[in-house]
Parts: sequence; C-alpha cells; structure tokens
Amino acid sequence: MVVESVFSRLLAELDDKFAGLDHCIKKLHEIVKCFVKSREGGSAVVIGPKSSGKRSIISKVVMDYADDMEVLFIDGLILTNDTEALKIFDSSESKSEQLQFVIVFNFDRFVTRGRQTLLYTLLNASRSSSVFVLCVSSRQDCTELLEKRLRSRLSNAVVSFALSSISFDDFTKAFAIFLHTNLKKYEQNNSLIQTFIADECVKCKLREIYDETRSYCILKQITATFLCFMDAEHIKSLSSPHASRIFVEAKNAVIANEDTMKSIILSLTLRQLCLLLCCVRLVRYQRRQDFTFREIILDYRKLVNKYLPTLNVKDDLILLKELDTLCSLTVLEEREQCGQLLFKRTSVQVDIDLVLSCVKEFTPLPTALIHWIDDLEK
Amino acid sequence: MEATCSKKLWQIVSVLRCRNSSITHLHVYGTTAGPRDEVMQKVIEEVKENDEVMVLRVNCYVNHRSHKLFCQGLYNLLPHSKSGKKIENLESVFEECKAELQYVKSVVMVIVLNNSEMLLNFPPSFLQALFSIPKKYGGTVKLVSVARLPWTRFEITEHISSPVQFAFEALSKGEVQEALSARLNFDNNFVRCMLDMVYSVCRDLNQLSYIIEKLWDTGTSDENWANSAASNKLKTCYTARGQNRTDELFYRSEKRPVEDAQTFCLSTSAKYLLIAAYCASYNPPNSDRRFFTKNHGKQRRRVPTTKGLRNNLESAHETGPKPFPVQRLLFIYLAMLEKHDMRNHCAADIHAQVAELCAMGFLNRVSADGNLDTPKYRCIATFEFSEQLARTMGIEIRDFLIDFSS
Repeated sequence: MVVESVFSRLLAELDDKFAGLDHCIKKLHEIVKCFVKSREGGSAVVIGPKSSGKRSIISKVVMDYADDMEVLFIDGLILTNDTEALKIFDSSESKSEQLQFVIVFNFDRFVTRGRQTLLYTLLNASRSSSVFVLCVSSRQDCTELLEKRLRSRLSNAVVSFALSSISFDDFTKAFAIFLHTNLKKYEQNNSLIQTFIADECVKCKLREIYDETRSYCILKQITATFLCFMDAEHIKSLSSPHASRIFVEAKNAVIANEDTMKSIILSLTLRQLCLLLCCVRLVRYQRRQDFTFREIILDYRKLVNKYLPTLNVKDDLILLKELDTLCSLTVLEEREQCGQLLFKRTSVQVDIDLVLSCVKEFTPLPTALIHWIDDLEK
Repeated sequence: MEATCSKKLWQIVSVLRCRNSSITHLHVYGTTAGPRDEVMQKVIEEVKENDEVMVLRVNCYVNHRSHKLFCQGLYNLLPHSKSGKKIENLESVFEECKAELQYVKSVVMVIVLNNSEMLLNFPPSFLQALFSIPKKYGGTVKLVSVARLPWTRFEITEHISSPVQFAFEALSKGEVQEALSARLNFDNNFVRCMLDMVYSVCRDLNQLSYIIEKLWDTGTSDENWANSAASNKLKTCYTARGQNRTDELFYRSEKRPVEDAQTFCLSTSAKYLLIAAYCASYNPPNSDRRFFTKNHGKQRRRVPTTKGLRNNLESAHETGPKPFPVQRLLFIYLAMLEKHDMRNHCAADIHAQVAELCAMGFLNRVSADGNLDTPKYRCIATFEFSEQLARTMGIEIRDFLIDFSS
C-alpha cells in the first residue's frame, strides 16, 4: 500500500481548476439555460487562442445539461469533409422531439473547405427547429470567412476566451490556486504555497513564463509537470530546498530556456563541426546565402590541409555523406536535387552566432581550430 | 552522466504514469551521440512493470505514407484487435484504444512513436488531430514522440502541440570511454588510443564499439599495450594505418576497381552523345562556334577579346552543369562525328539515345514533362568519368572544354 502524497492529490484536482475563465463559464451557462428553457433554436460563436481551455469548459458546461438535450460533437480536424459530418448530424435527427445541441470544434476548417454545406445545413436547422449550434474556433477572423448566406444566419452572440489583460499578480494567484487543495488532510501544504512562490528563483521563472506566454493552460501544464517531477524524486513537501530547482526543470521542459538546436550542434563530430564552420565562413565572410556542396568541400580541404591534417580524407564521398547528415539534422537546408551530390545547393538553417558560441563550448576542441577561429574573426 | 540519465528516466516514468489531461504529449529528442535510445528502452521496461500502464510501439518508418495506413497500423498493434476490421480515421483508432484500456483493465496507454521525423510527411492538420485527440480522454492516452530533432523543428509552419520535452545531450569523451571500457573486454590503454583516433569522426557508441572491435582484430596482442611507455610509439605507428582503416570501417565501404565492361557498356553513338552532352553542359553557348565549327572563310583570332571574355566567365566546373536545348546537343554531336569521321556509322536521330542516357542517370531533363518541342537537359556525369570515356575512344575532352583550353 503506497501512501498517496500531496502531489498526487494535487494532480488529480488540477483538471477541474480553471483560472480566469469564470465569465466564460457563466455566459455559456446562460446560453445553454436559455436554450433549454425556451426550446428555440439559435447559434453562438466561441473564439479563443489555442490551449485556452475552450474544449474543456464547453464539455463541462454542456454535460451539466445532458439530461435535457442531445449533445453532438463535430470536429473539423477529424472529419475531413462535409459529408461525413452531415452523416453524424443526420443520424441523430430522427428524434425530432428532443432538443439538440451541436458543438462544432475547429469550425474554420469547414469554412475554408468546400462550399460550407455543413454549416449552412446546421444554421438553417437552428432557425426552423430546436437545434442550437455552437461554433468554436481559434481564428479571430473566422466570422469574416463565412459566406453571406451563413453570416446572416449566425447570431451575434460571441463568447471570447481571450483574456485581454492579465497582470503578473493574476498569474501568480492562478499558480497559487493550482497548488491549493481543499482537503484538510493536506492543509499544511497550503501554508507553504506563499513561501514557495515568494522564492526569488520561482518568481523569476514565473516572470519568464508570463513574458513568454500568458496562457493559464500552459501554466497548468508546467504545474502538472512540476508535480510529476517532485514525485519522481520522492520529495514530500514544498518546503524542500530542491523544490525551486525542480520547478526550474519543469519550466524548461515545457518552454525551452535556450535554443534547442544547441544540443544538436554540440553533439556533432569534429569533422561535421568543421564542415559547419566552413558554411559559416561562406555565409558571413563571403556574404552569400546559397552555396554548393562542392564549395563547402573545397573550403574544408583548405582548412584541414592548413590546420588539421589528421582530419583529411581522400574520398569526397565521405564528406558528402557528412553534409547529408547535417541536412537531415536541419542544420543545413535540404533541397530536392536530382543527380550529382557535388553540385547540390544548400544554406545554413541555424543562427551563425549560435554556431560560433557553441564552438567555444565544444570539447575537445583542437587548438589549431581555435587559431583558425581567431584568424577568422580578425 | 549516469545520474542525469537516471533522473531523466524517472521523470519520464512519472510523467507517463500521471493521469492529468494537461500532459498528453512527450517529446524525447537527441542525436545518436547521446543515450536516448538506451534510456527510452529502460523507460518502457520500467513502465511495463506496472500493470496499470500499457505500451504500444509504433515505427514511423513503416507507417508514414498515408493516413489510412498509419491508422490501420496503429490499430493492428492493439492486442485484441480484430483482423478484418477497417479503421480509417484517428478518432476511431483512439476510441478503440479506449475500449482496449477498459478490456484489459489498464489505466494509462502509452504510444511510443519511434523515428517520428517521418510524421512530417503528413499535413499539419493531421498532426494537429493526432496530438489533440488524446486530450479529451483525461490523460489516459499519452503519445511519446522520439526523434533526433527538437520540437521547434517539427512546427516550423504551424502550431501543432505543446509537448513536455526531454533532451538527451551528447556523451562527452570521458563518458564514451567509460561506456566502451564497460562494454568491451579490451585493455583500457588500447581503448583510449583507438578512441583518440576515431572520436573526431564518430561519436555513436554502437559504431565506436564496432570499429574498435575490428581494430582489435587487426591489431597485435595484449602485451604490446600493457607497457604505457611503449604505447605512444605504437600509437604513432598505428595512426596512419588506423586512419584509413577507420574510414573504411565507419562507412562499410569496399573499394572495387571499376570494370571497363560494366561501366562503358554504351553503344558507340551513345558514347559520342554523352561526350557531346558533357561539352554542352559545361561550355557556354557562345563558345560552340570556336570548338565545333570548321574554319570556313577567313576568320581573325582576336586574342585580347578572348582573354577578356575568359576572365569574366565563371567556371562551369565550379558552379555545376548548365541546361542545354536538344538542338544544341544535336549540333555538337554531329560536329563531333564529322570531326572524327564517324558520320556514316551513327544515326542522326538521337532521341532514343537521349532517352536511354536519361534512364541510365547520365542526363537529367530539366524542362517540364509536357514540353516535347524544346526539351532541355543537363549532364550529370562527372568530369573524371567523361574524360575516361573519351580517352577510350581516342578523344581528348579537354580540347573541347573552355575551362581547360588555352
């Protein structure tokens, strides 16, 4: 029998916590309640950025009224044409007595495809029978994409999940809510939350998250990752000195704190790194965007003959394979080329300053190469 | 490094076991220079020990061509899948996964997508659907994408998902040496000397094990490496030999002498045509008159103009072959036949020969397929090959190339 820690409990509760969306929940409740009471058809639009909790809240609100009406979910990402979507609607239309609530997720996919037949059918039904259509999208201009015959049938009710102004204090309070639990068994944990948030390291990372994204759902994801990492290291309490370090690790797992290509560049072999440095030289000092594999190989042979004789190879095919490896790692651009590899054109796909800074961290770096870089920068 | 890998292993296991709908997608990335595959193998073994978690492994190399093939392959991995049932979209697959979880009384299903770079062949809307559908199952279906690239390279054009990422850095030289000494039963001095030679061109642990085993087979006995004072001298002796041997072992290449009968199986007219195509690709059009036209009438040679023109010209052998129309190829071909007194032996209709050279990979058509009136071609044979081919026919191809003529 494993004793459940406070973090497992917090993870279980985290799904039902929604920060900053109370007005959206209230408005949706009003819409559904009005539909159930009056039994008249209608429509509404829900707009919000990605990962803002639209699907979770809509599912939660609608399931409260599942006894009074039939609920249909249609997703524009899953159903790839209007015919399949209409089949779902038609197969449930036989019971004409019951109220129907149709939720169309990603409805901008239906707008940009075909002649908008599904939306026309649904909105027509909402005017003549007891059908309510809720259109959900992430595009802010989705109503402008509609045809005129659809726009006239769509009502002006709009629920926006875009939170216009979130201050850093609101963000911090949301994080505190995510770490809060209602059980008296873990009441000691609640008293530690403010001390944990007041930590300088945690506050700095929260500020970084706030500057990078103001999404409460990303913050919830980071919180869930943080709680999992605490469980992985068997830490029992927020007062542990490791808690702030683990929070930094959880934040870096969801939002990278540095260029993610850095680990790719640092894992190259020395020969691949020399080839990449030749590309950097061609871009920066010859001011060219495009070059061929042959030019890279010629530059590499000059570099190697002068500074690193042990890296010299006789066969061009080996160098061409290394350049292909760099293309597959997306360090160099991969273009379609039929025939000779030697004249394949490419360009650098990573930041040149990142490459030069990674070279200084590369170990073991031959001193001859350091001299070459110093000569390069003069 | 062992401590870091162990910590990352337990972090991944903990994230996979949790039931929270915020985390449905994990992205594990690192190149072959890191311990990514070993840690993922241990993660799967650790997670499988728990009866609450079920693991499916998908190889994206096999199922990367079409949507239906991917969905069907994913469905066929389920232990209780019916052989005749057809699954055509992602929602059906995940509904079957949900039913499977209830059938075997597991709690969490983990789907590991190995080699997930091949998922980039799908359109972004398919990937958005793939990574967003598990969100509505309350965290009981998790996707783990294993790749060499970070997730930012997967969503260059569109936002697809917000995964929890785990990066596996490359092993350093000391760590590689420790791993090799633990894996191989050779002398530590030998391993260190061989690693010094090979590390600059290869950092893959599996490749390094293979190379050092082969080098040990070709090396001497243990006694030579026991003496550390002598190892420096022996290292110097082995460097030159080991360098070439390393390249051969790393790329598994076997150099064979090229057989004349296999390479030059072209007919006589095809050989002349290939030489003409090479000249057409690597010569500017205004030099055709100089190389391929007889001197009719009086023509003054203006040396300063020629030198000036050659200085301005960019060398074709540095920028690659240029396209040429088929009429120009015919002109050069007939001129070559005339010059070498072969006019009566070869037919003037070159279209069949051109098509054959295209099929063999010596020519590449660069115009559109529907353009049948004036097709354009480019010669993709190398200079060494063309020169050798011409020499077997008694032609010096450098006389006809502006880059080499004086």
